[in-house]
Amino acid sequence: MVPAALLVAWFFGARWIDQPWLYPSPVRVADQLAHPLRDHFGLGSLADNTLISLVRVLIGFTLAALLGVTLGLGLGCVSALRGLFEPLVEILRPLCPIAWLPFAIAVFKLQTLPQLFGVAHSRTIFDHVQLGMIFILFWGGFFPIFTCTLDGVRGVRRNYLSLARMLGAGPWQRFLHVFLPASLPMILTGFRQGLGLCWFVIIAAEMLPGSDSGIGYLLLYAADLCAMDVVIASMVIIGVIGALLNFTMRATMQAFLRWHGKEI
Amino acid sequence: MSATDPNKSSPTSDQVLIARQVNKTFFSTSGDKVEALRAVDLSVGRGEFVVLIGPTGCGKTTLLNILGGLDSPDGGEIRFAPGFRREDGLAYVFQHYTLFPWRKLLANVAFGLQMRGVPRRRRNARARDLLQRVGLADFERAYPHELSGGMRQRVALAQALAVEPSVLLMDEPFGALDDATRKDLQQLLIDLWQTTSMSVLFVTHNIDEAVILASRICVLSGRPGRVVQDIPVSLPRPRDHLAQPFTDRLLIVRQALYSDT
Ligand SMILES: Nc1ncnc2c1ncn2[C@@H]1O[C@H](COP(=O)(O)OP(=O)(O)OP(=O)(O)O)[C@@H](O)[C@H]1O
Ligand SMILES: [Mg+2]
Repeated sequence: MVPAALLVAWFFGARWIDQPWLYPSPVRVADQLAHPLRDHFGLGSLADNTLISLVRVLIGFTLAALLGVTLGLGLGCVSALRGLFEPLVEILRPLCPIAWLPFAIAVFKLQTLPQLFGVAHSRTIFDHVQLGMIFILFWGGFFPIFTCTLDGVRGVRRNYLSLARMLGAGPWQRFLHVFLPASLPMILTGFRQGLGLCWFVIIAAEMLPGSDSGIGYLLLYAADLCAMDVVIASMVIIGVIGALLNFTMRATMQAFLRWHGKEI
Repeated sequence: MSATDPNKSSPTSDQVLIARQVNKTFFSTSGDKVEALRAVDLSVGRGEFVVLIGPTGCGKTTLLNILGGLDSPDGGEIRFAPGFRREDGLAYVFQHYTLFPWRKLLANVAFGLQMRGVPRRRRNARARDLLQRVGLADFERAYPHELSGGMRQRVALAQALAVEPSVLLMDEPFGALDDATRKDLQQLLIDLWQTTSMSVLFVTHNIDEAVILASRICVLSGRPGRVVQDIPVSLPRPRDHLAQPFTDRLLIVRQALYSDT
């Protein structure tokens, strides 16, 4: 009801103001969304650029997930390591991932993923995956995943560990059959937050110097050319994809963890 | 671990567990000293059903934790029969958190066997058999949160029995149940115990429950816990809790409890 009313208001508002380069009618935006493969300004289509952003996010997120979970589990189980790393973590965590951008450009220049493996032009989508972007995305995803995993492991009830021990579980078995499953809900919560943050970060990163593609880049480029219909179409796509990512993660969690939130 | 080698010696061959002069004092976070156990002597015979009864806070859980190896005594010693190892001979049903919430019932019951490396088919067959014996054959795919309290305690019992313990420690396992469910589970426990040569050390603060179950009742004093009386209960089973000999025992236990606390 409310969205429909807003849409109608937008439609008549745009018609009344009559400056389509600044306030495009929803019909023009819908037309852009209905033709996602149409090229814009020689930068590729909405679909192309969305896909590039998604691939960047998935690679950065995967790296963050691997390292975040490993370190979270490690530090969670071994309290001696925790004291060693905690101060570093506390300083790095509040740092906005975008603040790493100059550092990332200095270190990785504009090197792409295929170039890392000695391929100058792979002619695949990976030519658009710059190492600097991955680096920034990594910082975006790492902390939510790491801290959630750590909290998950530390929050495991001692009773479950004792129960496992009484039933004959050794240290490694307790890790595998108690620490891991008991902290899985928190790990997946970390994944959900991390993925959401990565999607935030990539849009911002694509608007900054050193970027050459992606839905965030297309959005800003279109804005400079007063193509507001493309800008708004991009915004819609960004919002919808963000919601879809969140929804997918939540559904995964519910499918995997029928027991979660129902501690006995 | 306990202060002494559990296998060094065992005084008589028909005892599986002996605790001698066990002391335990806790220091609370505010620095206060809480003496939980003082010079506790306790023995459990092979195949015996010993009930430990005492007022709340007298150190019953503490004593079981020490016997189970989850906590260590400050003084005294714990000994087991020769050849007995806690890792494979002892099971412990806790007062709370008796099941893994992330495992379905079958996997919960099979946990101990899985830890011992028993192949999946064999451990599942055994777990299924046990679930059937505690009357939950239809629930093997359920999660613990989908069960009532009484059903959970049945599963906890099956989980402990799956490893075929020679000593079973139980900490007020039926404490939170209503009367009828409690009676059912007491009967189930006795039936299962009678089919094995297992010894049971069962904690409760319910006098009726103690006399229904026990072949011997050890009465603990209020904190610091000491064993103040040892009352054999040789009534035939099944026990009629309205019959004269039963109510006589009840009275003796009640006197022992109240004379001290
Ligand atoms: N980890 C601990 N730290 C400090 N004090 C403790 C600890 N564990 C137990 N105590 C204290 O030791 C005493 C005995 O506790 P315990 O849990 O053994 O009693 P209980 O006989 O099992 O009581 P209940 O019947 O209520 O379960 C209590 O006063 C308790 O406060
Ligand atoms: Mg207790």
